[in-house]
Amino acid sequence: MATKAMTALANITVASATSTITFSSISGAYRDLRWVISFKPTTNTDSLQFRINSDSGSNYNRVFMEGYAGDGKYSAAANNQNIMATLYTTGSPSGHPATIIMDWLDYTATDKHKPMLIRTNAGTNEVVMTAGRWASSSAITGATFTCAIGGGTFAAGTTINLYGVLA
Amino acid sequence: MSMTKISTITVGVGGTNTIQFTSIPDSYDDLYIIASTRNSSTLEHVLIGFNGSTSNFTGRYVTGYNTNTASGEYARYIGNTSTSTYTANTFGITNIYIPNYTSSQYKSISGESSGENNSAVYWTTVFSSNVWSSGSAITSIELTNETGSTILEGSTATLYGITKGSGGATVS
Repeated sequence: MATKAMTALANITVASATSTITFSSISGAYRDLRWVISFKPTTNTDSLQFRINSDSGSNYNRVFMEGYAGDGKYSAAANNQNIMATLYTTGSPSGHPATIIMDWLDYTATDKHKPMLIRTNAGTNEVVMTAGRWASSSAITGATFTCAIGGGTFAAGTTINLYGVLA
Repeated sequence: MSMTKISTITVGVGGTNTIQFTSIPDSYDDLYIIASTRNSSTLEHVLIGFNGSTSNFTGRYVTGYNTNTASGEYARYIGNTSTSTYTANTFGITNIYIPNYTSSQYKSISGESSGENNSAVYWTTVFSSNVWSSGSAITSIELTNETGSTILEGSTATLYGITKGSGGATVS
C-alpha cells in the first residue's frame, strides 16, 4: 500500500479581524513543511511576516526577486527579526487575497540552519520569489504570523493551511 | 489523503488546441496542476481559463530569459511551453496552484514555469500571478497557447485536489 507523501496537519480560517496567528506543537514526523496561505489584510499596505519558535532574535535572512508595477528587481535582507513574505498585498482588483506558498525544508534537523522557499503573488501588484533562512539549528515546532508595515490585522477570510511532507 | 489525483490528460495524435479539465468535483479545498507541454508554433505562452470563460482575469509575471529579467501585466498568462523552435523532444513544465477554488471570493492563481530548451540563449523561466474576479466555483479549467496554436502529442497535464487539515492554530 502506498504511503501518502503529504499530510494535512493544521488549518485556520480567520472569522474576524485578528492580529496574530500562532501554530504550536507542530509534529516532528515529517521531513518538510508546506504552508499554503490565502492572505487578506485589513490594511492594503500590509505584508505578511512570521517568526519561528517565538524567536525574536535577528536570525532571519532572505533574498528575493520581485516583479512589480515597474519592472523586476532583486534584493536581500539579513539578520532581521522576522521574514516578510510579501511587500504589498492588494493588487488589482483591490481586496483580493494574496497567495503565499512556503516550503520549509528539513525543519526537524538539529545540525543545520533552516532553508525555506517562499512564493507570493498579489494579483497584478507583485510576484515575489524568496529564499529564506532561519539561522538556528533548533527543530521547528511552531510559527507566529503577523501583519507588518501597516500595523494592520488579518481580515476575515484569511486562511493558513499546514501540510507535512515525507521524504 | 491530503493530495489526490483527480485526472490526467495526455494529448494524442494530432494534438489539441485546449487541454481541459471538466466536471471538477467540489470536494477539495485547493487545486494543483502539473503540465508538460510543447506547441506547434513559435509562441510560448500558456494561458488559463475557467469554466469556459476567458473574462475577468488580471495578472502579472516576472520572467528570466537569455540574460534578461522583466515584469509586466498579462492577464491569463500562467507559464511557458517549449515551442517548435526549441530542442526536439523537449517539453516545458508549468505548475499551477489555485487555493480555495470553490470559494465565493475572487480566485488567486499561482504559476511557475520553464520553457525548457537545450540552448544557452533561448530558454525562459516564468513566475506568474493571476486573479479571476469571479465568486463562482471553478468547475472546469482550460489551458491553451496564445493564438490557439496546437498543443502537441505527448503533452500531459495532471489535476490534483488538495484537502486541508483542521485545528492546530490559535488567534489573538
